[in-house]
Amino acid sequence: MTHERFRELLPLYVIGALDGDELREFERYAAENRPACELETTGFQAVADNIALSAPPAMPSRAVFHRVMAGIEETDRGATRVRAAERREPERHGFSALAIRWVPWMSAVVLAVLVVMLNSQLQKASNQLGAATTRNTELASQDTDQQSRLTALNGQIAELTAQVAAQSREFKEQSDQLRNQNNQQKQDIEALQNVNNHLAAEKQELQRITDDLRQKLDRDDAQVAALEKKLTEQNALLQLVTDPAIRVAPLADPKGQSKAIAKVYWHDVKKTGLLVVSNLAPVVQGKDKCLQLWISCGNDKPVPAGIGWTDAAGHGVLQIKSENPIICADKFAVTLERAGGVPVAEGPMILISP
Amino acid sequence: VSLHPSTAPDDIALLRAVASRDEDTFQRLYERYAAPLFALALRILGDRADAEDVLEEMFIQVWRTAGAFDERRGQPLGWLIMLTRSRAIDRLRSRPTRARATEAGTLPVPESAAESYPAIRRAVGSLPEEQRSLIELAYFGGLTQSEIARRVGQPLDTVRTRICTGMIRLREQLGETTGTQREGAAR
Repeated sequence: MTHERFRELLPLYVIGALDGDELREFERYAAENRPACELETTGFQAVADNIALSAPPAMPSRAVFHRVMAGIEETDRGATRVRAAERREPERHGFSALAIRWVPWMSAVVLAVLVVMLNSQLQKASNQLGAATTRNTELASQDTDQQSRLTALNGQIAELTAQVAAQSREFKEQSDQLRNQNNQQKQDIEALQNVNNHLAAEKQELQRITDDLRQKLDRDDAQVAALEKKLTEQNALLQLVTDPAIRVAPLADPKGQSKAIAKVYWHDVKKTGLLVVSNLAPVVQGKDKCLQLWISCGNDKPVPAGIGWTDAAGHGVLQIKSENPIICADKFAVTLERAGGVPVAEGPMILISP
Repeated sequence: VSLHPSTAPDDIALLRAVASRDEDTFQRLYERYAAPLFALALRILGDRADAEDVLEEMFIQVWRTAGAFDERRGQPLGWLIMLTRSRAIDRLRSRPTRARATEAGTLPVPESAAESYPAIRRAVGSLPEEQRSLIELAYFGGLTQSEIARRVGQPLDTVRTRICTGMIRLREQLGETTGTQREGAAR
């Protein structure tokens, strides 16, 4: 160890933190180099002493002082007895000088005493041997008891071990059972989730079908309403046509070239009627043309009495409607006009009543 | 500047008188140092009864062996501290489990004792916690550097470095407290 190393370890040494080989090397070096080490050790030892004085303040009870004083008195009495014994020692040496002169007599006496004492010791030893034998027997009995208790304890330990093993097996079985139940529940949950997904898909499909049916129903309702409206109109027309006051006026191509024929069913009282055409060149609704009916009374200018169209075969029915009052209806004519009709005839006349 | 803790000038004379079986002088020595030495034992053991036993045994030892004190090898108070700490650490180590030293007891402390050594406490208390705690585990807990490293879970080198740094710093601070070491001196 170098002195530098000694200085490194010194702070650890003075507070007792050094241990193992380092402690042994440190103490050997310090002993071998006492003069050099002692001063430095003293300096750091003072730091350690200051640490001792940093302990929180505390006072011992007064009883401690009395115990200390009693202790030192006891110490002193013991020391006094030792000194007294030491003082008696020279006196025994004085007597021994005197006794030397009586060695032969004393030897005989001592020998006799020794024989008696030996006999006594033998008797005492015999008694002690008997007592020891008894004690040995007792100990053997105790040992037997201890062995019995130990055997009983071993039996209890074995029983407890078996109970622990049984409980452990039971716990393991319960754990396995719970694990299986858990797995089964997981599978059930997965199956339920699949069913749920399937039902959700079915619900979505049913929802779509329901929407389609609702739309179809709406369309059917609209169609029914249109048919009912048409039926109502047809009924009205039928009533009109079957009225005995109806007058029928035939119409034909003024040039006589077309096979087209038509009839006007006119009610002179109600000032309304129907135009029925057949075999006309088709004038389909939605195009740029329409048929327009005109009614004339005497020499008055013809007034527009409604527009209409034929189907693809050239047949059609037109209900007479006029925004102007119709006083009388002497003649009827049909012209081909722009879609929507015109206030004064512009297009060619394709039908006319006689 | 002396680093040595407050030792009254007549301490050596007191020990010589005790060595010659002067009970009055012995009583003066007891009254002078019983409190700080008891505080030390209590700090180590954390138990008043044990600390009082240590104090009793230590002072009886002083009565018996005062003649063996060698003033060339240290101050009287340092010798008394060494005797007290050794006995307290021995008792601590003899316990079934070596409990860490606890704080001092809660019995009332006379004002004179409470005022003792405040500069020393300030110096020790000013150390960084990681240094002070390790030094106290060694000095008051009686643990070696290896035992401390295991207990606090730090590398051995770290423990050594922190203890050495703390001790050197403490020596510097105590050296700076000129004259203050005599505060709380023996009464």
